[in-house]
Amino acid sequence: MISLQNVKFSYSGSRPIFDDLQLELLPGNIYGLLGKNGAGKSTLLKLINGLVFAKQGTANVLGADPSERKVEMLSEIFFVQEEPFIPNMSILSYCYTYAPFYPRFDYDKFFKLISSFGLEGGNQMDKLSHGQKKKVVLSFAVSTQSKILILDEPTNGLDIPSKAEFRRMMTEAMFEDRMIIISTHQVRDMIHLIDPIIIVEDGKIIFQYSLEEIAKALYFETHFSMHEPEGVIYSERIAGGFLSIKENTGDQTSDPDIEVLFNAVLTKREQITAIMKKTIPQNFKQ
Amino acid sequence: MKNKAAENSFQRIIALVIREVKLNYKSFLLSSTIIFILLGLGDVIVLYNNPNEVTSGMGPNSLTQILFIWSLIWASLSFSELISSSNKHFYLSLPASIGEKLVSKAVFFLILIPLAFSVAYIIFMNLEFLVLNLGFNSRLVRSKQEWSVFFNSIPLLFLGVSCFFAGSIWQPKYSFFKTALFGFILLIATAALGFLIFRIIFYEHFDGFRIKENGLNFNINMDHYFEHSWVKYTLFSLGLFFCYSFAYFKLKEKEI
Repeated sequence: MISLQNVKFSYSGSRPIFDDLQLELLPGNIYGLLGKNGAGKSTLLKLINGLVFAKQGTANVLGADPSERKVEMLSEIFFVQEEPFIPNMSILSYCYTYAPFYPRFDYDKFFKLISSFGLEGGNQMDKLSHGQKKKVVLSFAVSTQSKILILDEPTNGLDIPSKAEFRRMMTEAMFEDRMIIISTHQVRDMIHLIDPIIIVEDGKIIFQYSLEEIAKALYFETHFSMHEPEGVIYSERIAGGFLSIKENTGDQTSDPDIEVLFNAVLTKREQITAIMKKTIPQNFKQ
Repeated sequence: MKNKAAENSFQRIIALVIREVKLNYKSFLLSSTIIFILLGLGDVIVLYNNPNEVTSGMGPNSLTQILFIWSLIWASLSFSELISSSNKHFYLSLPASIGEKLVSKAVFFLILIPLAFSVAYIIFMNLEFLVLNLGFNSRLVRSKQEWSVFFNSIPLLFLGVSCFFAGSIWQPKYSFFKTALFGFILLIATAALGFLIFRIIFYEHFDGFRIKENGLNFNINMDHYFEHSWVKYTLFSLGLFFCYSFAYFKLKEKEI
């Protein structure tokens, strides 16, 4: 569905952001795209949506080159920006203005989602709070029924109940042919939602595994002790103890902590890569 | 109530034009109302200061002049959504082809806006005639200007707005000033280049940059050339072709 091969990209006059980028994404998944600030996450999403053009290499999204911005491709992608475009009109008018561009738009679903967020069709979009604006745009995005949904920092500005509502909405929004890509720094908001995990660093995909594969290779543990645990690949201090990652040598099961994993991949990249390569050899591409 | 999905090019263009109307109608109403109030106030002041004279009301000449400036400003705002990053992002991601986006913008900004303004002007002109004559003892008379002036200016107006339309894609921010400045520089450069070529070809008739006394008469009557309709149509068509090709390729290559 999405394939980027040997992609090079740089903004004019700046250093390359991507140099020989390889990425394959398949439908039926909610990908979590993680990376530090400036790692290239947003640029990667823009490449997929045809908002920036690869300087070299091939990009294929839904069978088309995204830089051509064909109608058939654009009507199957909806991109929710971190700071979404908010026109000066009511929610109802917004819906009736933009929905016709998406052939399978589900009006009933849109109004149901809007009301689940406590909003009404007559509310003026530009008068809403940041979080409310985001809720409208997220509801619209889900209702487009597009095959690819790209969400850039979707939970920024959402209150705590809305974050739970967001997770429920995304789970319900999934269907077999759909792919959701969520770029976020708020990984704790995405617990039990994003799978697989993709980590971008220095313009490369340095990690791309499903939670099942991660749990098979790595063991996540909480130590309630004042002393740093031994024999671990990575650990970080929490109140009353440590969160740690070690190699899963047996068939132990643990719930991967994505934030700890992310920090571990960035600081102990070689060790983590070697373990993943040993445990899941078929996935290893780097 | 459900809207029908825009499944073909024509339906998408209609959906895009409706979108433009919804996004811009408030600005259109506000700015045209201000213009009409100012025009009406101007006539009231003239009538008030000249109590014993009749005054000619609004006519086609002032419509032609106001419409020209008004349409150029609106044309230069056609792609103002390319200024802000989030608006640009949304607009470029909107499922419609480059051609459809261009056509819809041209229909709204180059046809509907000038047309709506002209209709509103004519309505206001007649309304003003009725209202002011009630208050000023029928001293406001209808303008005797010919409407042909207005209709003859339409091709030139269309060419002008097309240039500013293309300019709004090329330089969305401060587009009006940048396009006007570029046009002015282009005009000066073309004139200078033309003079230079002329100077080189007819060098024996020049003394420095001045034509020698008793030399050839180089006065050119441009009106004579424009009397031939083919010259007008060729220049008009070439101008439009250049503007829209430029606009198409500039929009196609737009990135965030």
